[in-house]
Amino acid sequence: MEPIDFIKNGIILTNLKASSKEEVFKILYDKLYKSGNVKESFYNGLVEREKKFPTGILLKSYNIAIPHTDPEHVINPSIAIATLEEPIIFQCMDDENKSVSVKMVFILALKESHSHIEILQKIILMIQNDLLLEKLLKSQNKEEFVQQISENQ
Amino acid sequence: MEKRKVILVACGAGIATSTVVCERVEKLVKDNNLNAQVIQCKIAEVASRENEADLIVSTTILPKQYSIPALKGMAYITGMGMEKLDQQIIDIIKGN
Repeated sequence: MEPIDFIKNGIILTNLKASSKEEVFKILYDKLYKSGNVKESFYNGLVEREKKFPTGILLKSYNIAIPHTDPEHVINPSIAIATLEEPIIFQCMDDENKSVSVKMVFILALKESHSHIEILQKIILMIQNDLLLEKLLKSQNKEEFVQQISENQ
Repeated sequence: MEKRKVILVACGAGIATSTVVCERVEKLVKDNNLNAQVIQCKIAEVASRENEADLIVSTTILPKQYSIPALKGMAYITGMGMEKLDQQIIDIIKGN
């Protein structure tokens, strides 16, 4: 599946109102669970993993987070993305003493290591592009969000 | 014949960031003709594998000091400092 289709098939919420990362996880998890893509245990998996191995990434202008958990909690590989109305603090992936203010969260529900290389590389390239992140943060709905990514390919 | 070096690429779950870093390190090894193999794993597995490895590249916090060199692989995720990291890996594998 092309990365853009993988994203189109996923959950995308823009300007989500949430006051904690657990709340963001819960909202996106509920949608992934209801669509049959993840098991009930996925939510706890996300929360526990984030505590142990945080997923905040410090970039140039706009920081992001890529929460994910072990494949045992996943039924179908999928993605849930949210842009946040108010920034939420995440801990930095490679520095436990650093925290980052995040406005975009990509929840990855993946089954195997090494088999999702294209979508992962696509996301990495997207987050390295400040201009694209800015446009994505301004998107008002899923269609606009996806269109920005398509136009930037 | 010189023994093939082993590079461990690790992240928290062994699924997401390590996949991207693994791909990049494999390409680096190939492009520079390095005598090395790249193994992807979870950070929890590194301690049990450090005896057979020569270098660790990790995107997550390293829980302890290892007996082999350990580099932060985040540059390949953020796009900042990639060439420097490339060179550090090459230098360690070549034994510079």
